[in-house]
Amino acid sequence: MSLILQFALNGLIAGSIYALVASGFSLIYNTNKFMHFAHGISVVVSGYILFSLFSLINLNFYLSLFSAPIYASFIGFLIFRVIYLPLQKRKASNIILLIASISTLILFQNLILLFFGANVKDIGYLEIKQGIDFYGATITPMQIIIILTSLVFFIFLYIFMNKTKLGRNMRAVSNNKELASVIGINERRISDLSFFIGSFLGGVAGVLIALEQNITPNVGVFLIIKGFTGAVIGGISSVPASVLGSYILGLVENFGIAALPSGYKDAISFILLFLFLLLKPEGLVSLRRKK
Amino acid sequence: MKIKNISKNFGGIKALESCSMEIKSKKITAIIGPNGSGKTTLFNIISRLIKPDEGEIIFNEKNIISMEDFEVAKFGISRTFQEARLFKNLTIQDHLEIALAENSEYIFKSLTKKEKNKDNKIQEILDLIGLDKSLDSYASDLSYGQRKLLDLAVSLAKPHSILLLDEPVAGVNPILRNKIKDILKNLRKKGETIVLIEHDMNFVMNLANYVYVLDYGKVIAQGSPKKIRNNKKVLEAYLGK
Amino acid sequence: MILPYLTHILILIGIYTILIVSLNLALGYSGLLNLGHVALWGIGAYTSALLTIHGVPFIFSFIIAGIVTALFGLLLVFATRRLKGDYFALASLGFSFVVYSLLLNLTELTRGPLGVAGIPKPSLFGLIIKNSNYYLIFVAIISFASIFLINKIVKSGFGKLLEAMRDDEIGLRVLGKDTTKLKYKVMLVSGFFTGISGSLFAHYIGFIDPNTFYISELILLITIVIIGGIASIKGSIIATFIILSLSELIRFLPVPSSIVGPIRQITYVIVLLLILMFKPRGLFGRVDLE
Repeated sequence: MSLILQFALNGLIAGSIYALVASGFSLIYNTNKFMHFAHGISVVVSGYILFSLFSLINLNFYLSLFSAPIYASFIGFLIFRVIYLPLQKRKASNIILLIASISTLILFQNLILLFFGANVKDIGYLEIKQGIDFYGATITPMQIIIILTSLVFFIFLYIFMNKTKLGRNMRAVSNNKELASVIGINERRISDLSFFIGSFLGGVAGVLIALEQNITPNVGVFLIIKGFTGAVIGGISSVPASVLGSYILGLVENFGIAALPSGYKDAISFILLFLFLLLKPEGLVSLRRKK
Repeated sequence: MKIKNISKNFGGIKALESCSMEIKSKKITAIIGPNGSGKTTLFNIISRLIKPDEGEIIFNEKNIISMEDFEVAKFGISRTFQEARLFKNLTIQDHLEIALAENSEYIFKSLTKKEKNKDNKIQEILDLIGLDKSLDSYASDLSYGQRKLLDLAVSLAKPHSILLLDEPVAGVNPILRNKIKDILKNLRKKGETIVLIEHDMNFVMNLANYVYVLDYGKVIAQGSPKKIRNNKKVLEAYLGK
Repeated sequence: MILPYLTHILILIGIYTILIVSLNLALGYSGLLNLGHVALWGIGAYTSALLTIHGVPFIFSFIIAGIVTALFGLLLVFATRRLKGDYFALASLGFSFVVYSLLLNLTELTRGPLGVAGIPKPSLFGLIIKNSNYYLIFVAIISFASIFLINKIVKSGFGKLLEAMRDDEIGLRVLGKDTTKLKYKVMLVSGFFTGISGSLFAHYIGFIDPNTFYISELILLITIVIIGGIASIKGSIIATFIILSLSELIRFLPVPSSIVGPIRQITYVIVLLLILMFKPRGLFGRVDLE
């Protein structure tokens, strides 16, 4: 019983990180209608900024912690302005945007590799890495923070998307771009905003994973694949569905390695991704939208 | 071709309701009706791009409802689209060769057997259509009218026993309009069976042998063009009740 | 001193041209946005390497690698037959990930992250092609033959059908052509040549591991094929020459060898982004990437 609980907890922890990445990805996808794989950059850049500010320059921890995702959101915005927007102006097809996106991701991964080296970086913040006992399962304070932080952000995101004017405008653009611009919503601003918010969420995932484990240059590629998989499983055209799908992914992965050798954890998510793309690309939560 | 009780629903909207028609061979049959009356949906069902919810279509003594789109095309149905579907990176020559080619789907045959020279046939069709552009012009270089003509030429070149033309003169200037009307009359003289969708009742008047009128997916009238022109229901459908 | 090095580059160019031209066949001529191409290459390489190590004569390993890869190519398009453009690209990318993780995890078969080392040099009719010069001749022959064949295919009536399918699949279907079967045939051909390229690669380098066939390599392939131009065999060949030469030149930069890899990747990616931004048809492409 406690083993099941442990798997479930591990699944929730992983799921939380994936969901943060997936929510940003899905938000950007829905607003702009293309796949921003370079979203992984916001994760990895955020982690390395935390490392640089805190571990290298010895800036105050909380300052570093809160500014890292903000920097990440700016970089996401820059990528939109410098890479995607010019391509869109040239009427680039979605496949070109996709390739440009993956290329940008690889670009940043290698830039980070160049500047920081391939070795694993530990943030070195004295978190109590000792586990707390929870009905027979173990969970560390950091892990609890991960779960709670992501829940808090999802609640904020929900409130923003549904209760604020800006959020509703964003959803309007997602639903029907032409109609939205006809009623006076500034598309460009909404796109900018989606990149800011989406990348910020990715940045939060970045600092959390950096604190919980460590940071390496491939963390961006790794997490965007997971986040994308979670979004596909849940339903990429809905941010809440993407979040749900990510938690499901986390749980399936962790229960899955009960049966398989632990190296298969990533294989499980890749296979799930492939199967869903083949069989149910609209995801589990398929919304019937009346266009 | 016999169309029997074809119905199609699109998420609650009845695009076609128990549509039945009889297409006589070597004649021009026109299907007219206001926008959204289901004309193109019917063509899409006949060419099997969509599946109907019920009904059958008997063509050359077979019910083609269960066939796939390319099978039904091979079986003798040739069609054009409202927006001409052309291959923008291929030349006029390429288009016609593809339509005429018999064995090009087989790699081995394509590499070893020399395909019979089709240039005569190609020229014949282009003369019939009157497309005044060199054979090696790319489809992307053609004007709207020329695209329509090429679309027609391609559907003619492809071996067929019936031609479905979806708004062959939509958006086309009056001179070209008349030219196309003459081409169609010529084709009928040569024994072609033609079904055409049109908006414009006038175009259809002295061209079609028989007319079906669709409104909201139902056949509301059928008969000779003269009879249709004076039919009250038809006028109401077009002008609104 | 220079000659052996030149031979080395030419061998790589020979191997990669087969790979790129077969990618262009699927992507440029047929419109199949196959981001799984790198995985197919890996399957070819691993098949050939593992068979030879277990005693199968090279000539058989070589051909079987081509056939196995062709079958996986077929499997990929069969599985994805209902997906349209973008989603096919994503699914094929997913396929690359799956193959990568299987290569990593099926350790009894593939030796996992350790990779397969000691891949023997090919031996044909008793002669072992140990000498690089002979290997170059061997690769050159296979390369010319492959490109010749693929070129014949694209210039034939079948090739025109492929291009029509790329431009408007439905337009071709209403002309009575079974485009699904066309896709199968193309992927069999593309897969076969990809497989033999993989075999040549494995037996030349002597060592392969799952990371050789993952995202970085995929970026290289995409960069070359786009720079050369969609639907241009000439472009693919020339671009392979240019990019691989560039890649090897980078090695001569006065930087520590651990930096060479990232610098290469950064170069490829920046070139790719610039091309996508300013000259998306590449050097000789006649068609837009859609």
